[in-house]
Amino acid sequence: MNDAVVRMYNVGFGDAFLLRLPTAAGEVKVLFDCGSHAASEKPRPMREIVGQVIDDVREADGTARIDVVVGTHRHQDHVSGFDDERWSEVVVREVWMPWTEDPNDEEATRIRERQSATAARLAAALAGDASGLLELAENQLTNAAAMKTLHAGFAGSPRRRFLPTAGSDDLSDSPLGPFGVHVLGPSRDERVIRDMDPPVGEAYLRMIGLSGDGDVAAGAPFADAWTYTESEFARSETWQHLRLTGPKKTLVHKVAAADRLAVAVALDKAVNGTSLVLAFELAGAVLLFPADAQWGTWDAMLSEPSSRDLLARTTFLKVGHHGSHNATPRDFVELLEHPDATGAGLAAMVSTHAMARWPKIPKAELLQALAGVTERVARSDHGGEPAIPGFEHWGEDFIDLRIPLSTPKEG
Amino acid sequence: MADTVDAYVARGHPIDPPLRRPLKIFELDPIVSRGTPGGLTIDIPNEPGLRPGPCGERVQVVDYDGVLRRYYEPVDLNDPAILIQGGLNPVESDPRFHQQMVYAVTMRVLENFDRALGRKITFRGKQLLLLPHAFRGPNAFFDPGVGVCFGYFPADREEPGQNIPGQPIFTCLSHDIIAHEVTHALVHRLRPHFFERTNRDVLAFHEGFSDIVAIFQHFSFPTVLRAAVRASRGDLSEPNELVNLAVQFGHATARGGALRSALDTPDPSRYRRAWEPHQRGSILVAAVFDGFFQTYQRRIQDLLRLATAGTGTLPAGEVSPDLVDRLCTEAAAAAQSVLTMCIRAFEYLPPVDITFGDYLRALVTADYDLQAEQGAVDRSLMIEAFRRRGIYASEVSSLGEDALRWPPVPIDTKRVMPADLVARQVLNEANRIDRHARATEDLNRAAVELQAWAGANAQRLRLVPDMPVKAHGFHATFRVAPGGELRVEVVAQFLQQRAHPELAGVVMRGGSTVVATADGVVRFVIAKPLDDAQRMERQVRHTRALAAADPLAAWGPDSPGVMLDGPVFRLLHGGMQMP
Repeated sequence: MNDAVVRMYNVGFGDAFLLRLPTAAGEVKVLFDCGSHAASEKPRPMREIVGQVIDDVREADGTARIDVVVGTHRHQDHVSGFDDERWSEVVVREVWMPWTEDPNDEEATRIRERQSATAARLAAALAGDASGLLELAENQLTNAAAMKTLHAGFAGSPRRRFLPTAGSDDLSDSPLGPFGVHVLGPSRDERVIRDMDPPVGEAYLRMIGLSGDGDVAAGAPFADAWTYTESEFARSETWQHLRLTGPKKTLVHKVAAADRLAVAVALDKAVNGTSLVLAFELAGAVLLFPADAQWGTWDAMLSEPSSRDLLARTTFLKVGHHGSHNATPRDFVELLEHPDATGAGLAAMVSTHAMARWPKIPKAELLQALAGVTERVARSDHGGEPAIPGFEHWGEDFIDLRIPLSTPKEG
Repeated sequence: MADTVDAYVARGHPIDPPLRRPLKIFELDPIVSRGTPGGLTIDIPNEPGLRPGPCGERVQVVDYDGVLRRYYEPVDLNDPAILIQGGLNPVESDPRFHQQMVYAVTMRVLENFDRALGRKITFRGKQLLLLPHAFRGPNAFFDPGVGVCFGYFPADREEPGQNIPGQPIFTCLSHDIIAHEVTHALVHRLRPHFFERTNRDVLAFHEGFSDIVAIFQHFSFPTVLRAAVRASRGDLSEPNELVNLAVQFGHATARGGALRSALDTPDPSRYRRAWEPHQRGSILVAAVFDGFFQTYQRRIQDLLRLATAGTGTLPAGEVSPDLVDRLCTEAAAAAQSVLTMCIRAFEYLPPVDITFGDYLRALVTADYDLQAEQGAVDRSLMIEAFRRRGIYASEVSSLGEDALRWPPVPIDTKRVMPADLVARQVLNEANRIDRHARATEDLNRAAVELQAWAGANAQRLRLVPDMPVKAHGFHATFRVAPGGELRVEVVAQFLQQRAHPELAGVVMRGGSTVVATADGVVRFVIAKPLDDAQRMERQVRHTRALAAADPLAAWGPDSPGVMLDGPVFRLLHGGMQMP
């Protein structure tokens, strides 16, 4: 077999990609993430999807084997599926995670702890909130059980790598040794690290009323005697002209929540900023998996001439962050080389699920711009619709893309 | 006759409603005010029809908490118990005092604008909504769709500065924060497109200008001024409460001091580098204050010589109270004249895409127009203060005042506004200033006539011919020159727009501000033409740079950030890191 195959599972709002790469020694299987957002509708329960992934990697001897599991970052929509006892029977050779997951790295530990602490406080304070903020906050929670699988689970005592390492990454002894593996992010550059820090400290959360520790932040600013419910206030004839109604009142509620929203969004961005970004270079093909990388990481990649050149040659793109506006810079799409007469050119896959809550994911303009580069753009949630030509399998549960290659040279 | 007497016997002779209403506020904020527990009494125009809230003709205070979804009891400033003591005394625990302070400071800002612009500024028949306790958080906003929203929050527990750890801090009890946000609202009223980030200076102007108004108002508070003059021995360019902005807020948010200050060390490279609107705006603030300090220094030289037998150098020790009084008078007068000059410049600003250079030109033109001779020295000091911070007008070859002033257009018999339209507007505006005003004329009709005139004279007004023109704002202004003569002028803004062919959804705007005499003869056309290819290219470059720096802006204008900043003007950027 000379072809690489990428399988995108339809997990709803989340990511699960299985990559099969041909080598002289046989097929190498790489699983990128396995998760879905708790609030997302799914075509079938996550447990069933996990069952299929495990079946898909089962070999002739009945044992499920994966060469490399990549946990790109600790968001629920990327890892929730790892909270499943069946993974303990799957033989895994290596688990790759971003350097921010390294338990022995001081800076990584500091970033993780700050992110988790902020998320926990945010989620606790938002309990009962119906505006969608809670879901955003819950996505950030430690996802402890799933992360335990990645850090300590699986059969076969897999080797854990935290990438990129502080020095240069030598992956030649990994199952992906035969390929050119580029670790493009998360950078250890100071500016990128700053983006990973939660935007605000505990003091700020308290100031916006998001710490439930019973001090004045949680209470009312004035004595009860001065305070009127909306219906009490409405009863006064002399105050009728002061009543807020209709759209104006809605706007006031929105403004009142603005700072909370800003914190939730900024934290989301901070965790996405830890995304492990990988590119595989094989005979004529460049497969790019940017996870949910944010501008800081992209900026670092695009400013470095060698990685910029690599990005321009991308032939397969896993579209970042479910096709949202903030994970695929315009610069990058403009950089993509258009298909020439001989090559098949670019193909892209977007794992996404339209949710009323986040109407801008996926972002229409981004999809249009990609469509200007290639006709082969698959959406995981469009699997049930008429197939787009150029994909090996087009189904409601998963979509396969075959990428023709010449067998790479040994070692 | 007998009827009238009977009526008077029953009710007494009516007393004319007073012109002014005294109200108390914290002296700047609860921390600065500690030395004066009774607070500060300021007087503002008396609105006879003031209702509980307070709810007046132009502003409405609604004390609704958007987080708790509760109302706090509104104050009735016409309650005799309140009237008799000249307003409620400053107390942090009574929301009704908060409402009173927000109302009083807002009215003071409005009055400063009315005075400088020579007309009564309105919100197009609506009221500016002010919410003293809208949300929780160390911030305050002006949101064009809502109004001014003030936050409240507990002071930092580790570093509360001069506050008690965790004590509630109310942004609506800071004179500076109120004045800053209300100025945002007024700038937005006068130039609604100044929240579009068409170049680096636009939002920075919004922020800087709002700080300028807040800080200059300090000089009109005698106790604050006197304390500062006395402590600094007359040298106001030393750090002091007068030039600090939002002291309590700065302490409560662990900054260890005021939120911002009007002082800086002039450095032209800051203007080239600074991006963040508040930082960039502070350069404008520092330039204006530098100009003010120079003016003040010049005006007190004779006093210092008189007081020191000609040496001009004060001896060590306390300055004589008489001299302190005289220095205060000079400082207050100089501050008021600079503030008036700063606001008056508005009538000479282009309708879109402002730069600091444009502002300097408008400042100089507006002042020259009113007091060519008397203001010459102060203007040159101001120009120099801008130069020291690297602010020039890009199209101007020298920093001479005559080069900086907007060039008057040649008198052209064809460039005259329709006489009856002008006459009606002058009358209209005069009526509005008069306390016994009659109903004002339908402005929509005037706008239609004005648009037709501008369309027919597009080229003369530096508008793009054969494209729709929108009239925004048409005013007559009344000002008294130092010689005593009344100056009546008519000012109109015209706008044009088109979608940018490449930047999907981005609207490019151009337009002209037209200043005419009372008989409609056009004197100035201050234009940012829509067909200025270089300007458009600069704007596109700027938009792209913004988009690159702000990932939220990467795909299309409906994500915040490309051109619009929310559009919400904040006291600060919410504690968030900004690109």
